[in-house]
Amino acid sequence: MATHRVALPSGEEFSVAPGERILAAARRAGVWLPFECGWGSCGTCKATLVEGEVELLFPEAPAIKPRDARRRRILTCQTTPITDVVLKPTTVSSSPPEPLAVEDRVGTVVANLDLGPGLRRLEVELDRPVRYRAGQYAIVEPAPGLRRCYSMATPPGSGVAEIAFVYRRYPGRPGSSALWALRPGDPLPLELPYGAMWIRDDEPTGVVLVAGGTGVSPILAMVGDLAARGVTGTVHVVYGARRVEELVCADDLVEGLAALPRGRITLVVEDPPPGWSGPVGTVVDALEPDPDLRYYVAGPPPMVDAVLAHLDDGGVGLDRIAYDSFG
Amino acid sequence: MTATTIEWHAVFGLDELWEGDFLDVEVAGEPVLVVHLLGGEVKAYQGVCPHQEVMLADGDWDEESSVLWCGGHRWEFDLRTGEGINPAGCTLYEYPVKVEDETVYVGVPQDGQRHYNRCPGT
Repeated sequence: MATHRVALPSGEEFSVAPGERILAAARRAGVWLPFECGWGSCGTCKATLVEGEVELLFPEAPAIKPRDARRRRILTCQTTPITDVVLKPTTVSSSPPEPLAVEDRVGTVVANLDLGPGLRRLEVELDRPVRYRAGQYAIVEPAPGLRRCYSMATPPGSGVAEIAFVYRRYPGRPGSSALWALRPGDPLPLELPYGAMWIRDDEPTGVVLVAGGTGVSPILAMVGDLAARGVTGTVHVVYGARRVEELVCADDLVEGLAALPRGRITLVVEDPPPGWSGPVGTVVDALEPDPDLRYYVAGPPPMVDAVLAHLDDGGVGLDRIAYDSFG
Repeated sequence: MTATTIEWHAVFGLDELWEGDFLDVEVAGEPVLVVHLLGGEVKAYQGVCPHQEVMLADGDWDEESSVLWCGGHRWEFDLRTGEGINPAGCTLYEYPVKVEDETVYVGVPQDGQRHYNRCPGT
C-alpha cells in the first residue's frame, strides 16, 4: 500500500494516503471538490475518472447508479485510489462552500444520557468552538472504520465547543451500538459540518419542522436557533414517534417555541396511551401542506419519503423542502 | 436584426446513444445532456441541474415517462420538453439538435449568453 497522487485537469494535485477517501484528502490539502452529504447518499461529489484505478469503500452507497461505470463516474467521498489517478470534478475551489467548511476534530465524550427506551443524548466537548448551521450533521467515528451521520441537537450560535446528538440504538447494528458504548472521557473523532438541511437566515413567511423519531435531533437545534434569533413568522413543529415515551426532548421543543410569537407544536403517536388527546398516526397524518411555508424534514427514510409524497400531493414544491433521512 | 449563428458539434453516433437512454458530453466547454427519447426524437439540455449544478446525467431516469430525477435533491424534469415537474416552473435550457447520417449534432448559439437556467431553492 502506498500513497497515491491525484491530479486534476485544472492543475491542482494532492496525495491520498492508503485507504484515505479522495474527497477528504483533497480537503486536507486545501482543495475543495464538490460534495454535500459526505457519505454517498446525494451524488454531488461524483467526478469523472480520466486515468487510473480506484477502490470503492462503500459499495452499498445509495448514490451509485448502474450508468456510473460506463461514464467512469466515481463518488469521491467513498473512493480511494489504488494507482495515481487523473480526476475531473465539475468544480474546484481553494475555499469551502459557505455552510460546508468541514473540519476534522477529535471530541471528548462528556455524557451519554438515557432519554427513553433505546434513546440517548451523547454530549461531546471539542477543544475549540466549531461553526455550523442549525440542522447540519457530523460524521462521527465511534470505532475505527465505523463512520456514521448524526445531526447536532445543539444550536450553533456563533460557534460552540460543546455539541450533542440525540440517537437511537439499533440492536445488532455496529454504528449505534458503538455510540451507545461510549463513556465520559472517551475520544470521538468527527468531521463536521455536513448536509443541506439547515435553516436559512431569511425565512420569509414561516417554517414547518417535521421530526420522526430521532429526527428530533436537528429539529432541536433549529428551534433553539430560531428562538435565539427571535423570528416572528410561523414555526410549527410536527413531531411523531411510535409511543409517547419515544417523544424525547419534546419539553425542550415546547420551551423553545414558547419564546416565539407564532411557535406551536403538534405531537403525534402511532400507539397512543389511554387518555391521549392529540393526533394518532404518523407525522403525515398531522401535517397540512401549505405551499407558502418552508419545510424541513428529518427522520428515517420511509417516514421522509412519505412526508415528501404528502407535500407533493399538497402542492408544496421541492424548492421549499429540505430533508435528511438517516436511520 | 440578425439571427444568432449556431455552431454545430457532432457529439454521438446513434449506435452510442440508444433509444431510451441519455449521455452527457461537453460541447464548446458547456456540459450538455443529450437524450434519445422513446419514439426516436433526440433532445439536448443543459447538463447540470438548475438547482445546485449537480450533473443531471448522474440522476435517475424513467424512459417510459421521460422523467429524470436529479440525484442531488430529487428535482424532477420532463425530458420531452425540459420542463420542471417538481418544482414546477423551473425549465432546463434546451439546445438545438439535429441528426444527420446517424450522427447527433448539438447546436451552440453564438450569442454570448450562458446556456443554462438557474432556479435556486431551499
